[in-house]
This record gives sequence, structure tokens and C-alpha cells, in this order.
Amino acid sequence: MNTHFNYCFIPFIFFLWLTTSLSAQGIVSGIVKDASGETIIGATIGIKGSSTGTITDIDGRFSLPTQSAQDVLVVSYIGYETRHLTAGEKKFLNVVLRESSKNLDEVVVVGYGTQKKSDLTGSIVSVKADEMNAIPTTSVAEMLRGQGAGIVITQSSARPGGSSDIVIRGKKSINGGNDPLFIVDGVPVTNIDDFNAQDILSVEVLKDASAQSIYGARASNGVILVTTKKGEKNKTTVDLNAYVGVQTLKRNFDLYDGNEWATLKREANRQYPNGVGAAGDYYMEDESLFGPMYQNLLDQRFTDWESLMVKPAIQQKYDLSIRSGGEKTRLSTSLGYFEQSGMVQPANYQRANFRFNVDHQILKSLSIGFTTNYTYAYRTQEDGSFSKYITQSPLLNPFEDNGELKSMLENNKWNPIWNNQNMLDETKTHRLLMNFYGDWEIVKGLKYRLNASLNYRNSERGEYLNSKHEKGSTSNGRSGITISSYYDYLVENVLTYNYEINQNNKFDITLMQSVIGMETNTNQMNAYGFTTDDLGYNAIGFASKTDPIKRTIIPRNILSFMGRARYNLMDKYLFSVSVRVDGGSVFGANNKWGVFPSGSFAWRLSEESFLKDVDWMTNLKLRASYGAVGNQAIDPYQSQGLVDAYYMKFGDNEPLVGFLPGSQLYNPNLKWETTYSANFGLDFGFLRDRITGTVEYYHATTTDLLMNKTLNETSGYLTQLVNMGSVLNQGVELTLNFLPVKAQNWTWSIDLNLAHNQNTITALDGQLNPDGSSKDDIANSWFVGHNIDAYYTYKANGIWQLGDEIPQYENESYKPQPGDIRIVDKNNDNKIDADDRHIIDRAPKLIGSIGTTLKWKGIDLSLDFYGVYGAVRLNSYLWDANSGGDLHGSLNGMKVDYWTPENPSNTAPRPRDATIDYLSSIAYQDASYFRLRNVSLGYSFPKRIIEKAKMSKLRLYATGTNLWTLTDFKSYSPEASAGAYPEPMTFVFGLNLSF
Amino acid sequence: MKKLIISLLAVAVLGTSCNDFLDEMVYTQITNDYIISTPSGMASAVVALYVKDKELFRDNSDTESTLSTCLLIGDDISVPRAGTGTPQFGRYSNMNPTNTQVKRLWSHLYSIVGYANTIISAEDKVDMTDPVAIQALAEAKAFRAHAYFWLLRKFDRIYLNTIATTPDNLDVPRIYKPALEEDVYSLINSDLQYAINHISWDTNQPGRFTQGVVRHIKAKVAMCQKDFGQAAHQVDTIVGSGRYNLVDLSKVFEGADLNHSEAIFVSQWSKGTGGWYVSPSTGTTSGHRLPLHFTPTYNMEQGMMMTFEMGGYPWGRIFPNNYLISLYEKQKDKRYQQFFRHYFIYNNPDGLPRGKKLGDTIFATSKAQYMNVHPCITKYNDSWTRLSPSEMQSYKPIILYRLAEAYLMGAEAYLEIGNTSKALEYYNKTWERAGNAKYTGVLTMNMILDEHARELCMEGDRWFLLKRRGLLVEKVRKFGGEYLTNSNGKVLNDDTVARSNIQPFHVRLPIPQAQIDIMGRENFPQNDGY
Repeated sequence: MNTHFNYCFIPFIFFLWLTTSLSAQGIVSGIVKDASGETIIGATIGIKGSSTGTITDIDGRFSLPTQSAQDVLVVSYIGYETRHLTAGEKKFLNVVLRESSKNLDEVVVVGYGTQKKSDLTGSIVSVKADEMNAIPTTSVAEMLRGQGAGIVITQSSARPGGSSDIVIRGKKSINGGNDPLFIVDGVPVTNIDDFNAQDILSVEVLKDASAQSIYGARASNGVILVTTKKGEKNKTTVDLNAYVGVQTLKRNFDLYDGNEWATLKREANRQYPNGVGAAGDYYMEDESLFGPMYQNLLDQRFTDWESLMVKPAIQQKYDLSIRSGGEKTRLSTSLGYFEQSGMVQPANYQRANFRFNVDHQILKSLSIGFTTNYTYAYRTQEDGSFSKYITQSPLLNPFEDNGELKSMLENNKWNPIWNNQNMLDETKTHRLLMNFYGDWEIVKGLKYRLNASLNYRNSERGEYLNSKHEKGSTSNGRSGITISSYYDYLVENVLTYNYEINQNNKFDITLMQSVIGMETNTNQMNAYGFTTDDLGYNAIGFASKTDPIKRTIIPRNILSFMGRARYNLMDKYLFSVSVRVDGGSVFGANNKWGVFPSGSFAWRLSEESFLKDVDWMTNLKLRASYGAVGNQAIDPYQSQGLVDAYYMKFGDNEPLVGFLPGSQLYNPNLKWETTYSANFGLDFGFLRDRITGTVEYYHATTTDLLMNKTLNETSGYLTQLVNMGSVLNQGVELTLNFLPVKAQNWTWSIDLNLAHNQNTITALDGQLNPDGSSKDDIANSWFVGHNIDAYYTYKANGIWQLGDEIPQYENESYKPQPGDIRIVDKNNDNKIDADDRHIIDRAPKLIGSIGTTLKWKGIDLSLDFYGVYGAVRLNSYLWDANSGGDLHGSLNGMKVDYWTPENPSNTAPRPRDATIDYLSSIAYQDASYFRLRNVSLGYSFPKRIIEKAKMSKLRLYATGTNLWTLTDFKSYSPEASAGAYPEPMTFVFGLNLSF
Repeated sequence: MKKLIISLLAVAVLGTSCNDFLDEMVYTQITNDYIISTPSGMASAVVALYVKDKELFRDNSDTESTLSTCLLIGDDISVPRAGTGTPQFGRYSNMNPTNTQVKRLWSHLYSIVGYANTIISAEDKVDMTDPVAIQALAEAKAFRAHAYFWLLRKFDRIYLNTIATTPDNLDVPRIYKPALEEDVYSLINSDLQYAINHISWDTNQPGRFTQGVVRHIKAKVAMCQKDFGQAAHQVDTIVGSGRYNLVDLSKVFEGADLNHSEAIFVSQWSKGTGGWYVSPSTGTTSGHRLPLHFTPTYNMEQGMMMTFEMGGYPWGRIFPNNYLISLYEKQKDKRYQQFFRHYFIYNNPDGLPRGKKLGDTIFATSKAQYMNVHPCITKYNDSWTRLSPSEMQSYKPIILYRLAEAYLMGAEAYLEIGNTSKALEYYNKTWERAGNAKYTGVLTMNMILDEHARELCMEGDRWFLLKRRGLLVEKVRKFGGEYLTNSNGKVLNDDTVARSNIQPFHVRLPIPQAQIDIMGRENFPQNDGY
């Protein structure tokens, strides 16, 4: 009802750049430039062995007092090789810094600490914020799409405020969930969707067991470490980013227009008294067939429901961040605002983020830090499913002759536009994350860290269907309010010890202990009978009828211990071992604790003497690891037998409450799933790192899989959650980065990643067939030797044609006629029955992305392609009645080449006003696609111009997202299912500004 | 500072390491133990079982009440038009083991059996001298007997489970052999006998099992077992109890409360907590949709609008056929008017077809038009629990068993025994109430069958009656569906595929394929013919 922020604009804040200059005896000054001749701002110049130092100004210039001509100047800048030079007698120095071969010196966050990239032994993908933020996206998950091999992002709902699924190296769990664990600055969070991508400095994805196992029982789906931006010493930066865009809908199929739909309906009701194809068939009279729609047909007054319901919508984002620091204190703060309007009104999502971080050094050996992160999100939703908006018959008119909106359409169904205008569904979410940490260096090399956090989320969803709405009209308005709060806390003690025995023998040890407590508290209430619609659901206090309030409290506790030791021998041989022990409250009383060990080894071949002098090879490293990780993402209380409340009203008596268990039988022996995985990797860098990359192979077996076992229904229960079966994921990943051109004015880079994952169920509940093979779980479509996601269905082989010799199947009541689907009789027993079903694996065989960036002076152009190969999906638009796929001529739907005696099509059967046998068998489609996910063209203004406005960066850009897709899968999106909110094509215009 | 950190460290390690921290606390739910270890727990579980039983009319995954309506068709007196399950149940076309309604019926009935078994198992833990516990046990046994009676009649080949399923006994290997019919009947009868012995005739909570309800079920079971003496005895006992009377014909299906003296067992529905169906997965509330199924889509005709008088929101899925209509003496039998609407009249001043005025009867000239104004059953019509005619959910209670059926069972049983005077006495009960003159001639079985159709049509017993008398295939082949022309010879309805489709094996449903897959077809073969 009340819209938030609509007129809230982030004010421009101009920040003045202050420089101080020192004057002293014996001054040396100079200018620092990079290899291409661009000046470097903020480079540090110090004098070795002295605390004197300065940084370069906006022109790249510096001046520094010196004591003697022998002083050694140390010039450094992040990402460049540090240079030592003697000032000598020169009073002016021209310093040229060369870019460091950054891949190796880069520091990577590995969990409970950081590590130099060259020392890594596990499989970790590190993505820097600059790369991710190049594409304006709606969420952190979407930002990761295509950024690393083996990371698969699928949009589960593209609605405003919708979320995406992240699957790392294939699905390992059926019921335990496949969401990775997110760790933001050392704090586990359950949901990353409402974080502001602009606050992120880097994201590390831990892919193999040795990297993950330090997170134990929650890590088997992979761990995503998010590091946020912090203030830097002696440097102030102000960033302002903004974009505005428009989202539009696209599809690769046609809907029936008015006359085509009328023809379909006529065909669906065509009578064949003597059999299909035989003489004597006739159509029904239009007048009675179309009834109240008949007049619209006569007048040729058709409605294009799609364009009426779905309209282009705005998307915008504004971010301001300030980072600054002195010697002892650094701080960073940011404000962000994001809005995505829905293509279907009134769907909308708005989010405001605020973040503040401060680090302070109290003593030389003691420093503390504090971060607070607040998010407010406001989301409204449209009424009903998306399908409703496109599947109405074009012969129905939502408006009266005088232009007024109708409540009911000609076919006596409710007008979806009417319903949509008489409802409200809004969710308000507040989230606060506070994190405190203290670092204490007890003695040299021995450090203690206390990490404590509190995460609190409160959300309120209010729904109101007023007395004019279809569902509100039956009870004079109905409302529902759901209030849920969630909190978790973490107290973590980390002890690390670094010791360098000598140049060739270095090791470190990490010990960790932590306590995590979580609690979700939900209260849900419904009410009916409102005297007025004016107050919406806020009038719930004086509704005439209410449902009993539903209240649930779900606690969840985790206790953990972890130890890790790493050893570095001569910078060539790297070893790491770790073990984590986790106790979780969600598991059965007999299985509270899990132990997760791992070990890994890496060999830096390029450091060996026989390769050290090979010029073209900059890096070559072999890695191997093996370890165990767990998955405990099941719902609480599954190990305890609990009952649900039911209300029963006998006659006029007051309702009684009764209790019975649900349809799932409890299991007191539940435990975590364990994934044992081996990983082999080869990292390489050639030609001064113009070509870098990684090839990896992994083999991960998940055992004790949490499965909803289908029970014999005669037991009275339908399912039980059990630890049974196992799944194997094995795959190959390739990451390649090329830098073909790197010159003063232009650079060209190509990044490619490809991943193949094979997902196979290797065992189910251990039951055997008479022949000794493992018994498949047909009821759940789980088959040994196939994907977790498999279809089990009949196979269509075209359409029976007139003149075909149609077999007389032994089935008593299945007698196909011309125009029916030709079902493959797999076992040739002249009978179509359950034995004729086929298994279809759904998971994609190959996922990859290729991106290229071209920079010429201030202009940058980037293209990003994303492809999925070998996926299969059941397309609801081709068979499902509610998606208009049933060929009954009752709803509008995807236009197909259906069979009629005059049109011997081989793709879709004969329409009819009755269920078409085996119709879904033609709807399994190859969902491979290749998509130009992003095109971005930007222009950065030359420094000499923007310097006058005290700016350090000004870039304008235009981006198009999802512009072009090549696929055979007919839909709005090869990823979204029918009825789900489809992902839009988006055009965005934006600016990046820094001071 | 150092001290502080050390003490923090100590608190964190020592204060939380105890295992209590990993116990899973339950705050807002009750445990299973309660319902199987206390009399009040047993009683509360029985209350919940009444709610579960209502799922037949509104299964969680079925928003259209089609499971219940599928059980009302496929006989000799109805003709279906459309709807999920209609071809399979109504026209015997492509009924197969993967049919959704078949699966739902199987799992619904076995879930009742399973819950009843759980409550019955409390016998071993609870003090069974407590009257609350005895009442709960008796009702649970009545539920179990009733569910097995349904299973047996619908599937014939069933598995007999009388043990409460627990995580401990789940993995005990079992061989799933079909139960012998006599074993099932023996369980049903012993359960019913316990209930008869312990349940009172009276309750102030209509809708619960009473001794009358249990005896009525017992009579039905006896009819199936051809134990006509037993059936007659039960009917006599029900009649002799003095608790039941036929009400005025116009009152049988009128109102938002059908707990009148003719009603024996009524599924309780009302708009509000405890009266409506709550989806366990989404929490949304709803009623059933029976009125929609039985009302033709009259409003698709020009000059018609939706009113309560015409039946409210229509789906037009199940109609009486012309054979049923022909069984009434139109002038004398009040049921001909009371239970049906035979024609529709123009009621919308807007859009009247040329030459027609308000109140004119619509005469169909084509099949499509006839389907919009087909004669229809009004037993389920509901203008009492719906706010407007366009409301698609109904909260009207549904009569499952009523005295009229008991009388007709009595007539049939006595006729079989050879006590014709007693048979005539029971036959005349409904016959005379409908306004007909007392019949004194020779009573035949066919007359009872026809009276059953006239009185109880579309209430759910017809298919079972024909099956137990071995007449299902014969009657459907003769009268199933409908073929009808108007006076000009124009075909108004031509839907007689049921007559050619029905086969002897159709007297039972297929076992759901998924369940055969689980039990193993070598142990538990599919019903013949499927």
C-alpha cells in the first residue's frame, strides 16, 4: 500500500582530496608510472629502515625528505612489483613499476586465515569484485554466474527479489539440500541474497574436500567465502555507482491468436462418430461451442493477454561507499539502494543496505574490529501464477464495453487483472549482522583470534485479498500475516602458530573451537470478515473470524572443533592436513558427532631446478587432495516423532483439537551425509602469465544420503527420511585465461571455463532384485547408474498417421487412433504398460562460459557467453492443462503444429476435449542453450579531464543482459519452469565514479 | 585485556562443551508418545482422524474434489461429461494402474488404517479401564473396519495390516501377500463388534461414530457377505432404536446443517475453524466442490446468469442419465421434482437471444447446448454456506449414510430371506414418503434396485450395490451413459462408450503401480485384466 523509497535518491557527496606535503632538508621528488606510461596514484614511497614515507598524489608525483644519498627508496603499489632504488645525487626520479605476475603473490582467503595463491594445495576459485561487478546483476549469486568452472547458477525464480540456486560440482544430496555454505568475513550466514554486491572485495569458492573440510558437517555442498571491502591505511576512496535499466520479456514461441485459437477449439471438439479418418466427421456449431465468447469471435474482438499483463519494467541501483584509514584506525562505510520492478504489476522489490566497518589497533600486538550490516528489503508480489496471465483465451475480454474492468470473464472464470487489482501481498525484511573480532599476537608467531557475531532477521509478510477478490469475496475479505524472526550467534576461538624453522622449512598450525546457536520463531495468523477494505491486513484485529494462530520455534545448535597443520618445504612441496569434529542437534540421539579429516599435497614443478630456467613457463603446480565433508542441511525434528494439530468441528459444537503424525515416519537414527572426495589439479602459467589456467579432475562419493524413502502405503505412512544410498559426482574442469594483447593503449583478454560433471546414483536402500542387481526406486525415479534428477517416462515416436497400421495392443482400453501419440513399445510385448517406460537423465553434461574484454584507451567492451549442454526438461507448455498445453482448446498456450486429418503433423497429437493419452511423453525437450549473457560497453574519461573535478575515475557504460539465446527449448527461459516468473532481457545504463 | 580474553576463551570452551547443547529441544509441538500412552492422547488422535477422513472430499493435491466424484460415477444411472478421472471411472476408458485417483484412494484408505492401527496399539500402554480410552479404541476400530471395507470392495486384492508402524518394526522383513477375503471380513467384523459393544447410540457431537453408524456399516458388510439374517437384524435394531426417522423429503438435503433425524453418518463441513479443509503443506483453507460437479454450465448460455436458484457456480461434470429419469412416475413421485432440476429458464435480461423473454424454458437444439442445460441432481446444491453464487467452494455437510438406505437394505435382506411382508414394509418407507400409494403387490428384487436408484442416486452406493449383486457389468452395458435425441431426431447426447468398454474385471480397480513396484509383483500381482 505504502511505497517505500520511491523518491529516495542517494545524494551526491563530493569529497575533497587533501594532500599534505612535507618540507625538509634534502628532498627527493619524482613521478611513478606504470609500464604503459600511466601515472600511479597512491603508490607508497618509503625509506628503508626509517618510518618516513609518503604516497604519490593525483598526478603520480611525490616528494620525500632524505637523510643521505645512500637512502634506499622503496616504491610499492598493490599489484606491482616493489622496486628498491637509491636516490643518489638525483633530485628527480622517474620510477616505472612493472605489474607483478600477480597470480602467484595474490593472497587468497582460505577459511580461518589466508594463503598465498602459490601455496594453495586445495581447489579454490577466487573471484575479484571488479570482475564480478562488471555485469550489473540482481544478486550475489547471479554475480558468480560463469565466474568459475564447476559453479552452476540456476535462477529458481526471476521475480523481483527472487533467488538463484548455486550448485558446486554437481548435486550431492537429494533431500539434504544442495546450497553451499556462505561465510562472510568469517561468519556463516544462511542466505546471501540480500547482501549488496558492491560491498564485496572478493569471493572464494572452496571446491574440494581439503579446502572445505575445515568447515566439516556443513561443507559438502561447497563453501563460498565472501570478503568485504575494508578501509586501507593512509588512503581515502569514495565510490559512487549507479545504473538504471529496463527489463523486457522475450520468448521463442508463439501463442495462438484469436482465430487460430478458435480453430484449435473447433478441432478439439470435432466429432468423429465413425472413427478418426473415416467419413462422417463434423464440427460443432460455433454458437454453442463458443457460447458467451461467440460474440467476440463474430466481432473479431481479440485480447492479447500477454501484452496486457506483462509490461517492460525498471531496474535501478545506487551505491555510495567511503573507505578511509589512518595509521591505527581504518573504516569503511557504504549505502546502497536497489529496486527491481516487476514486469507483472504489482511485483516489486526494493532493498536498502547500510554497512559500517572499523578496525583499530590498540596495542602493537592487539587489534580489534567491528562490522555492522543492516539491510531492509520490501517486496510485493502479484496474484496467482504467471501462467494465468498468458493462458487466457484471446476470445475473452477483460473489459466491459464501457471500458470498466470485469470481475468475471465470459467463460465465468475470474478475471486475473481484476484479482490482481484487489489484493496486496507484501513482505518487509529487516536484517542486522554484527560482527566483532579481536586479534592478539601472544608471542611472535602465535596468534589468537576471537570472532563473535550476531545475526538477526525479522520479516513480516502481510497478505490481503479484499472483498472483491475471487478468494476474498467468499468471506468479506481475508488476510494473513506471517511474522518470523531468526537469530544466530557464533563464538569462535582461533589459535594460529606460524613458525619458520629456516628458509626451507615453514609450517603453521591452526586450532579452532566454535559454538553456533540458531533459532527461528514463526507466528502465522489468518483472519476473515472485514467491515472495510481500507486498512488491508492491518485491520486483522477487528476481523470477525480468525484461525488459530500457528506458532513454531525451531532451534538448532552446532558445536565444532578443528585443527589444521600446513608445512612448506623449500617452496616446492606443500602439505596440509586437517580434521574437524562437529556435533549437531538435528541428528538422532545416537549419532550426534561427526569427524571429517582431510589431507592435501602440492608440488610446484616450476620451482624445480630442471624447470626453473624454462623461460616460457612461469608456473606449473600439481595438486592432490582427499578428504571427507558432511551435509547436515535437513530440517530439524526429523529424528523425533512429533504430531500435528488438526481442528474438528462436530455439528454446532466448538471445534476440538486433535493430534496425529504426518505422512512421514520419523527416524531416530538420522545422521549427516558424508562426501569423500579426491581432487587432482594442475595449475599452469605460460609466457609471463599471458596464458594461465587450471585443469582439475575430481571424484566425490556421497554416502549415507538422506533420502525420503517411499514406504509401502499399507504401513499407513508415505515416506521416511533415511540415510541410505550413495551418489557419485565426478568431473573435469578447465579454466583458461588468455591475454593476447597487452600494450600501452589496448588490452585484450579471453577467459574460458568449462566443466563436465557426471552425477550417478551408485546405491539406493540396498534392496536387491532377484538377479542380484540393486533395486531401483521407481516411485521416486531414482535409478542406480543414473542422475539424481531423472525422468522415468514413456517415449514418443511421432504421431500415428492415417493409413498407418496401428497395432491392436492387448491393453483393454488403450486403442490409439490416427492423430494419437505413437508410444514406443519398448519390450515389444504388444502392450503399452509400465514396463515401457524409459529413463531420461536430466542433468547437463557440459556447462561453460567464455568471456572476452577489449580495452582501447578509455573504451572497454566485454562480451560474456554462457552455455549449458545436454540438459533435459519436461516442458509444461507442451502438455500441462494449467499451462495451456493440453490441446483442449480451453486455455491459450504455446502454438504447436497439431495433427488433424488434413494436417498430418508428426509433432503434436490431435486436439480433443478429453485427456490425450501419454501427452507428456512429447514434452521432454533438450534444454541445452547458448546465451549471450552480457554485452557491456563502457567509456572511462581520461584522467586529465576528470582530475579537474577532483575525480579519480569516471566511467559510463551500457549493458545488455540475456540479449540472445540459442536453444531448442520452447519457453520464456530454458531455466525457468512454466508458471514461474521468467528471467527478463535487461538493458542498463550506468556510471562508476570515484574520488 | 589478556585476562578478559582468556576468561572469554574459557567460558566459550567449558561452558558449552556439554552434550545438553546438542539435545534437540521441542517447544511448539507435541510428541508421538502422547497419543499412544494416555487416554486423552488417544481421544485427541481420534478427533484428528475425523479430519483425515474428510480428505476424501478434498485431497491435498486435488483441488477439485474429483476423487470423491469419481466414486459416484461408472454406474447405470449417471452420465459424466468431463473432469479428471471421468474417462477412467465414468466410461471405463483406459483405467490403468497409474491412474492418479486410484493412487489417491489407496493411500487415503491405508492412511486411515495406519492411524487407526497406531491408536489401537495404545491398548498395550494405556489403562484400558478408563472410559475415555475405551471410547477412543472403539472409534479407532470403527475407522479401521470402515477403511478396510472400502478397500476390499474397491480393490478386492489388498494387504491386511493390523500392526502400528514404528521406526523399529519398519525394517522387519515382510512378504506382501494378498489377504484372503475371509480374513479381511473377520477383522472388519471383530472391529465392528467391539465398537457396537462400546459405543453409545447417542452423542452430542454429530458426525462421530455412534452405535447406529456402526450397525449400519455392519449391515452393509453383512449384505456383501450375503449374511441377510445378520443384515436384517442390524436394520431392525437401527429402526427399533427410535433414534432415527425419515424427515420430510424437502428437508433431507436442505440447509447448512444436515444432522437431522434421518441422517446416520454425516461428513461435517462448515466455513470456519474445524469445518473446512486446511492444506497441510500451504495452510490454505477450502471447502469441497461437489455442487459444482452436479450443476451444468447453464451460464454459458446466452440470457443466463449465475444464481443460487439455478445451482450457483457450475462445472457440469456428472448428470443423471435418461434411464434414471425414466424410473420415476413424474406426476406422483415427489422425488422427481425434489432431487432434480429438469430444465433451465432464461434469467438474465441482458443478452437474451432474439425472440426469448425472461422465464422462457431453454430447449436445446444441439449436443453442446444440451450439455449446458442437462437435467441435473440438486442434492448437493448449496445456497447456505456460500456468500455468493459465484463462490466455488462449498461447506455444506455431506450425508454418507441415512435411514433410507437402511430401509432398502432391510427390504432386500428380508426379500432374500423370504419374509415378504417385512420386505414390503421396509420398501414402502421411502416409496410412500415420496408421495406414492402404498405398494401391496408382489415385491421383486428389480423393484428394490429401482427404488434404490430413485432414492439414493448419486449418493455413492449404486456402484457397490450393483457390484455385490453381480449386476454391474450387465447394468452398465444396458444403461450406462446416455443416448438421447430430441423430438426432431437431433442427437442431444451420445455418450455410451461405457456400455462397450466395461469388462468383467472392471468390478475392481487396479492396484496402484507404484505400490506393486514396492511390494514386488511376484508377491503381489496386479488385479487381472489390468
